[in-house]
Amino acid sequence: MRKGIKHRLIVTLGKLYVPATSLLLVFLVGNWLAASTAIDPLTVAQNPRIRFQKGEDLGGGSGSGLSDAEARLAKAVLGDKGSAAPDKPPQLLYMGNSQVLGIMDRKKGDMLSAQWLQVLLARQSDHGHPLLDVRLESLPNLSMTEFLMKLIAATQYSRGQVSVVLGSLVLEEFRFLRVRDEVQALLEKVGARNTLMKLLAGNSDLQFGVHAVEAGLGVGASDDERAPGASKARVVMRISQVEDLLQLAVNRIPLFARRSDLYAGTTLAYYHFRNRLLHVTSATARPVPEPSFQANLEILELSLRYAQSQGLRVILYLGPIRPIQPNRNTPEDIARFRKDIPMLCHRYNVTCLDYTDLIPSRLWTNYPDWDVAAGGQPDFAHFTGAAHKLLAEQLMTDVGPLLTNWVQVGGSPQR
Amino acid sequence: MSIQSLTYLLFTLVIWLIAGRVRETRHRLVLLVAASYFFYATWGVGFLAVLLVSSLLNYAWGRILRRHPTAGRLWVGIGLNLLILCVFKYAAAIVGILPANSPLDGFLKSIVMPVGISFWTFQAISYQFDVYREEGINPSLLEFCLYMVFWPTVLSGPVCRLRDMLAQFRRPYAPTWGDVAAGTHRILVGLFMKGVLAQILGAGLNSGEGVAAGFDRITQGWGGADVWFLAVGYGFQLFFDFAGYSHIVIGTARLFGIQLSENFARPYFSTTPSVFWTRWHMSLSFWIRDYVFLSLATMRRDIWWRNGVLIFAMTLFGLWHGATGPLVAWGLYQGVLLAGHRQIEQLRRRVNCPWPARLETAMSWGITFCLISLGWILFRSHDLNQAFIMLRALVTPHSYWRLVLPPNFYIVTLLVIGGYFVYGGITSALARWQRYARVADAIWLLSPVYYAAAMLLIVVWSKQESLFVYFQF
Repeated sequence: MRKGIKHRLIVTLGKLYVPATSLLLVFLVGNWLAASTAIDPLTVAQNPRIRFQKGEDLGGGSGSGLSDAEARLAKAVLGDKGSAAPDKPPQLLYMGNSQVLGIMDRKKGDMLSAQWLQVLLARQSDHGHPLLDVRLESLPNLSMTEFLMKLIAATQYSRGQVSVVLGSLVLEEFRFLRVRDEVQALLEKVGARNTLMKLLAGNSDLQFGVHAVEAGLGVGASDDERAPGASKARVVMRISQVEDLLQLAVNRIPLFARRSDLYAGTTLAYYHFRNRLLHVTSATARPVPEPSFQANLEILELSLRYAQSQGLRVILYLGPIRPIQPNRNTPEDIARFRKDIPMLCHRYNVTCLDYTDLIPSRLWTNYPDWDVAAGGQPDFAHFTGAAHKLLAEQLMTDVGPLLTNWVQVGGSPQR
Repeated sequence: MSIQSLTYLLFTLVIWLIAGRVRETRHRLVLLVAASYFFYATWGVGFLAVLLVSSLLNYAWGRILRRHPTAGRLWVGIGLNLLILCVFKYAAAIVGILPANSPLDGFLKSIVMPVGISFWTFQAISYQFDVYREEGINPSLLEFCLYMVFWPTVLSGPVCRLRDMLAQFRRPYAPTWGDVAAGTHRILVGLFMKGVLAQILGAGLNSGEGVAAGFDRITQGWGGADVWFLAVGYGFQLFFDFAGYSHIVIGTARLFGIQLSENFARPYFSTTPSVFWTRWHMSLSFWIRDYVFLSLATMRRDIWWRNGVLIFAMTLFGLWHGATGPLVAWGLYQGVLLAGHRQIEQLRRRVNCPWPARLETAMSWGITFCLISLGWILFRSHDLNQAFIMLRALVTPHSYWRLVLPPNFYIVTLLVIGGYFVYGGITSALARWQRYARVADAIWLLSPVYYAAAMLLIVVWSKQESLFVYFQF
C-alpha cells in the first residue's frame, strides 16, 4: 500500500519536474535580470558626454552673457509654445535631430543654436522683443518621414502661428526610412493624419517618397488587419479592456515590467558583440544607399510642397560634418548631399545653406575613454556649446535680414 | 482576441478547467461550441452571423445531398460556398474593375471580409465532397457547428476534415498528462517561433531594419544580394509566423485531447518541390490535392493533362491567397515547378546518370531551396512591377556589388536562418541518441533550462500586437 503511494508520488513529482522547474527558473532568472538591468533604453547607447538642454542654469550673469530677459527667452525655446496665441509673434519652427538638441561637454551657460538664435533675434530688434518666436521641434534620430510628420503636426497644432520653418538636414538621417510609433501617435493626437494622407494622395508623382511614407504609416495593410478594428461591437471593446487589465496585472512582475529595458539591453549587447567582431567603429564608413537617399529626398520635397501650400517660408541648412579622416560619411555621399539638396531648394525657391564645413574639428568631441563600447572613438553627430553659438551666429548672418524682411513685409504668411 | 494575447491564454485555461468538470459528451460539445462562438464574436459579431449562416446552410445541404448524392447537388453545395467566399473575399478586387460611379461601388466597399472565411469555407466544401463520396459521416448539427467554428482553428486553420474530427468529438473526454504536456510544449514553441523569430525577421532589431521595411519602404534599387536576402528572409518569416501559429493552435486543441492535422513538417529540409509541398501548409495543400487535383487529374490519363491540372490547381491555390497579379503568378510558378519536377524525374528514369548520393541530395536541396525562395518574391511583392524589378536585380551581375539594406538586416537574417538549421541538426541528433537511457535522462533533466530560456525570450522579445503575416489570407 505504502509502496504504491510512494510510487505514485514519484511519478507525480516526475511529471511536475519539468513545468515546475521551468517556471521557477523563469521566476528566479527573470527577477535577477530585472533587478540587475537598470538602464534607460532611450539613453543607454548615447555618448555619455552629451547633455540634452534643459535650461535649468540659464540666467542673467550665468556665464553666457545673457540678460535676465534674454535668459527667459532662451529658456522658453525649450517649453511648449501652446496651440494658439494671437498676441505672440509668429513662430519659427526649428527642426532637426540630436545635433540640434544635444551639447557635448556642456558647461554652465552653454545653449543650443535654437536658443542662441532666439537671443540674437531679440538683440537684432529695436525694442528687444524678437520678431519670431523660436520653437524647437526636434527629435533624436529624426528621419525625413518624421520630419514631414512633425512639420504637419506642429503647423496643425499651432493653428496658423508658424511662419518660418528652419530645417537642419543631417546626411546620416538619409540612410534610413523609419517612423517611430510616438511620432505617428503625435500625428493622430493632433488630428493631422488626414492632412498627411491628402498630401500623399495629391503628390503621387513623388512615388518613392510617397511609398516610403505610406509603408511607414502602415497604409495598405490588408482588409483583414483593419477589419477587427473597424468592428466596434461591445464584446470587442470588452476584450480589449480585459487585455489591458491583464497587461497591467502582469506588469507587477518585475520581468514583465522591465521587458523594454531588457530588450534594449540585449540589443545593445548584440551591437557591442557585432562591433567588436566586425571591427566596426564610429568612423567606419556608412554609405547611404541610393534608394534610401532618393526616397528621403522625395520626402523632403513633399515637406517643401506642404510648407508652400501652407504659405510657410522655409530655410534649410546642411548640418555640419566633422572634418576628420577616417570619416563615417563617404566623400561620394557628401558630394551628392551638397549637390542634390541645394538643387531641390533652388527648384522650390527655398533658401539652402551649406554648413557641412562650418564647425572646426576642435569644437567636436570623442566618446570618453571610460566608455566600454566606444572609448576614445570620435563622435560624428554632436558638437559643443561653442559650436552651437557659432552655428546660430552664422544663421543670423546668413538669414537674419531675410527673416526680418519676411516678418515685416508678410507678417505671418500662414495666416 | 489575438492568439498571442494573455486574454487568449486565460480564455483557454478557463475553458480547459470547465471542460475537465463536464463529463457528458454532449454538454462538453455545447461548452466548446459556445466558447468558440464567443471567441469568434470577439473579432466581430457580424462575422459570427456570416459563419452561422454558412454552417446552417451547409448542414442542411449536406442532409439533402446525403439522401440523393448526385453531382448536380454537390455542385450546388460547392457553388453556394464559393459564392459566399467570393462575395466577401473578392469584393474589394471587383471594385477595382468596376466602371467609375458604378452603383455597386459603395455596396462592395462596405463589405468586410469575415476573419478566417477562406479556411472554414474550405472545411465546408470538403464536408460536401465527403458526403457526396458517401464516406459515412453523419454529424449532428452541434458537431457540425463545432467543426466549423472550433476556436483554435477558426481563424487560420489548419483546414480540418470532418471524418478526422468527428471521432474525437464523440469519444469520452479524457485528455492525458501526455496531451497536456505535448499541448503546452507546442504552445510554447509556437509563441517562440511567432513572437520572437518571426518578429525579429519581419520588424528587425530596430524600426526599419526588417524584411517588411526591405519590401515596403523602398521601391527600386535593390541589389541581387538584397533580393536573395529578402526572399529567403521573408520565406523564413512566413514559416516562423505561420508554423508558430499552427503550433499554438495544435497545442491548444491538444490540451482538450483533440489532435489536429499538422501544417508544417520541416519544409526547408525538403530536397524537391514536390516534397516541399507535402511539408508546407500541409492541411491546405492536401486539401487542394484531394479535392481539386485528384478530382480533375483522374479524368484523363495523358501526361499533358495531369501537368496542366497540376498547374491549374496551384494557380487556384495562388488565387485563394488573394486576387492579385503577384499571387496568381506565384501559384502558376509553383505549378510549373511541380510539373517541371515531374518531367525531370521521368527523364532521369530514362537517362541513367549516376551521381554520388550525398552530392545529389545536397544539390537537390540547394536548388529546391533557391527555387522556393524565389517564389516568395512573387508572393510578397505589392505588384508585378515590383516583382519584376526584384527579379531583374537577381539576373544583373553588377547589382550584386550594391547593398541597400541596413547591415543588421543581413546579420540577423543569417543568424536566425543559420540558427534554425543548426537547431534542426541538433534535434535530429538528439532524437537519435535518445534511445540511450542516460542521454534521454540528461535531456529530461536539462529540459527546464531550455523551456525557461524560451519563456524568458518570449516575454522580453515578443510584442503582444505583432502583425500576423499569414492573417491576410
